[in-house]
Amino acid sequence: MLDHRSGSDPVNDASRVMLDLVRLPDEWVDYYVKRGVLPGTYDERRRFPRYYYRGRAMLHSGDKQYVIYTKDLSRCGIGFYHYKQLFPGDAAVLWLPPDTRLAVGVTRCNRVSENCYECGAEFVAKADQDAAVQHLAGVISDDGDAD
Amino acid sequence: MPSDTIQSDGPQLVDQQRLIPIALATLRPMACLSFDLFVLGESGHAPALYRQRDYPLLQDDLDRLAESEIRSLFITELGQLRYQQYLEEHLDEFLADEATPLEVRCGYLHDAGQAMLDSAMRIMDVGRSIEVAEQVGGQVANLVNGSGLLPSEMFRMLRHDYRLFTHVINVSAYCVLLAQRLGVTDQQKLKEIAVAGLLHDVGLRKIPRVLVDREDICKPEQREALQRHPQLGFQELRRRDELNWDQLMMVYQHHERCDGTGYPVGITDKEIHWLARLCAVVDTFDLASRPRKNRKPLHLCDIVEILQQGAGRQFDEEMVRCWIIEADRTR
Repeated sequence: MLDHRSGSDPVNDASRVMLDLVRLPDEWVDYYVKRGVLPGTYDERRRFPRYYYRGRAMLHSGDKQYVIYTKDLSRCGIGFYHYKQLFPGDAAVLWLPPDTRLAVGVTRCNRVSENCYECGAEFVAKADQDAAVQHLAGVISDDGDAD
Repeated sequence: MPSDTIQSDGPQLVDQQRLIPIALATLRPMACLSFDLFVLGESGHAPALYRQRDYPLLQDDLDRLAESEIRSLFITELGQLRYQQYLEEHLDEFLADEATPLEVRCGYLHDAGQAMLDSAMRIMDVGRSIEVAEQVGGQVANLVNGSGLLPSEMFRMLRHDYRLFTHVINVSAYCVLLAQRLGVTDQQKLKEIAVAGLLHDVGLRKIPRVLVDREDICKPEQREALQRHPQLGFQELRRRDELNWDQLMMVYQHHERCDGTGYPVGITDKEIHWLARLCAVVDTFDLASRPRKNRKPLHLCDIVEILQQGAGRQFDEEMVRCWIIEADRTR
């Protein structure tokens, strides 16, 4: 999988100069390694498969920007790690490297540890879904190239 | 007063602790009710059968009870399900009837809520309970009367689950009491706290009632479904303008625990809003004081012990201490 932590792209360049407050648990040594489709669960609310999608991204909320760590991506939503709690219904814009912009609404939040909250968000408009699908195709393609 | 001897739910004289209060205001004269009605005797006397099931309840009966300032009658655990069915069958139309002025329907709800609070306060000293019921209950009940938001929510709650209705009335009043004990004196703030208490479990309306009623949730997916109610309530109320962020946090966080093992997020003590920490204490207090299928209602000292065991882990220590003092000084 193309590691989108590195490379010259606007999102990564910007996120490198921002304060990174997320503290992923030390034991997550395989955070960047995971790839492919997430294992399925009994949760019938999930309509589409989710793909591992690991790396840094940016979250814009109000007039503030934050570094986040992405977790997984599907056609209708994205999972990521933020340093503080978000609330269901919060609106935000995610910037995925190199230059994909997605408007999202937070759907859930779970505390992993201090300064690490796992958040789920859904795309709010069809345009964002389409952009996510296109971005996802690139991720899957990169994963295939890396194999 | 008692009817002729015919088959009823159980013995004519029953243990008071196994009876469940219902508001007189929820009863309408009709040919027959499908559950026995009991009335509390004089102090020191056991409750007595007032009206057996399948025996007519007349308007004269209701008038005489009201004149005697009796606002609650009692049903057995067995009768509870039938009472809920009665509410659904006969009162739904009344509460939902748009032609009936909202003021009248709110008044109905006012009476029902007030009577239930009276009964809830019986766990404390009688003299104190009257004082509490008048102060706090009136505040809560008047609140129900005066808001465009709450009556619609309360109507839906009453239709969904009668026990949920009584629970939120109790928790609302207890929240106000504890807030006062903690030093909150601003009337507007206390009103906000009462409102939030009434709505803290509003998300349960979106959970199948069969899950809400069960006392032995075993399957993970069932537990997870039930544990979604704080978030569901938060999401529903957040879309409206009537509640502020503090109130929303009571709804969203009242099942969080100081040690981080709560839900829906799993935050720890410093991250839990103080109103949610307050609600958690009284929410558990009220739930522990209710009769369960295979268990008698707990005594106040047992409930206090439950709270003390959870202090610092599940509950805010200071709030537990304050609530125990409040509950204790009424004995």
